Amino acid sequence: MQGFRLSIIFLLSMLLMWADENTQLLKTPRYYFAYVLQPVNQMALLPSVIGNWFELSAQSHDTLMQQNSELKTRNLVLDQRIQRLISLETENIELRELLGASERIDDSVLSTEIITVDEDPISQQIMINRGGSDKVFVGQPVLDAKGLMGQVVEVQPNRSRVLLIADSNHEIPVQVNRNGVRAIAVGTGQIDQLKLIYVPDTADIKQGDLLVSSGLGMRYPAGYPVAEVTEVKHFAGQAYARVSAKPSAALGQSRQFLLVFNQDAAHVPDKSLWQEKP
Amino acid sequence: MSSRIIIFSSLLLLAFLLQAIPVSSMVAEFSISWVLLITIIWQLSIPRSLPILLVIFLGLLMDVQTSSLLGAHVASLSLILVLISGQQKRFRMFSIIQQMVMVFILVFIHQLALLLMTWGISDKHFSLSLWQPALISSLVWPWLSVIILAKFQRIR
Repeated sequence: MQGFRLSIIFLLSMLLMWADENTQLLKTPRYYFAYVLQPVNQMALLPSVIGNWFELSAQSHDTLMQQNSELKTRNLVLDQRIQRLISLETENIELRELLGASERIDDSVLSTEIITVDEDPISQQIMINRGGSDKVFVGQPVLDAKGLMGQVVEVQPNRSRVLLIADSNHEIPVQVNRNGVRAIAVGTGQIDQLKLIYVPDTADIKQGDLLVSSGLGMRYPAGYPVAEVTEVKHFAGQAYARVSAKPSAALGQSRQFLLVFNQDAAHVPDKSLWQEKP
Repeated sequence: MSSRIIIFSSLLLLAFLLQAIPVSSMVAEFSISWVLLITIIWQLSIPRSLPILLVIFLGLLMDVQTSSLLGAHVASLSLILVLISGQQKRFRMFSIIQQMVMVFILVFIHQLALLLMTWGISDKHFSLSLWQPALISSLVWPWLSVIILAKFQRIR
């Protein structure tokens, strides 16, 4: 009897999955269902919060002093770089004006922190502590201090899920910083490896090349570091070379990230510049 | 009877809480579904007392928590429960090693079902890393069953 009822539930849940996949009906209930989970998740975070607090308060005065002076030095160096950046930016804008291209606006960002790593061993996803109440949206790019991390794929009221660039479902259009050769970087499912697809065998791409986002997918802003080429293999008779790269962002280690708010993520130059005249 | 249901329900909530605790990605590969284990124990120790609505509710919560399709965890949980319903007496006759093998197979089926149900949608890579949670679950099983199953069998 119970087996029968359970089988009915099994079939009904199949139906539910179909509805979730093919219709938009369940998106709102799912969003509000996440409110139920909030107390659970907050309680589950307690151990790590307590751990962090102990770690912080157990640090000696000397360590903190040393850290503080290191941070001050670093801050000074960064300040100096920003000064140069400002002049470069104005120069860039002027040059773009000369070219007639549209001006690139600096992205506004929101800082965020990691909550959990996906327990599923085959997917590379993380949860972060910002959600719909912070105006996070699906498709939003996420960066860490060194490069692109990935993009938001699901938004809940106070947290959201980020698909990392190393996930095997993730692809990002990139270009070689040195010469602008374009390719697509695909995740392998391993946290420290990407592979480039559709790289012609004759393309000028070498080990150590920095790959930056090209912005062509209209999803990621252009010009952020994505990965560094670690290996290029050529095969006789094959049209494409096999290229592996290592993500610039510390996908497995970073705890602090930035969410980028930029409506026209991809900077596409004015049409007259690249379209042939009839 | 009702007190056992309360105890088991709170155990389930505890299991759910345990699963929600963030762990590092190294540990995550070996993390197991405590909710699944507790439901299996419940079904085996006091058959036909498992509130089906609770299973649905927990399954849906897990779906939202892990961002899988709504219903995926409900389906995989009920599949396992269907598999073991009516097998309680036989299961109790098993030696502890046989029980561990059964738990390994059940958790493996659960993992596989979850993977298959999202097959067309997520095109996740099929990998052999499915066996890790199953192995850990079967290693945990003797302890859990000694603590929980034995206790409830004595009350009966």
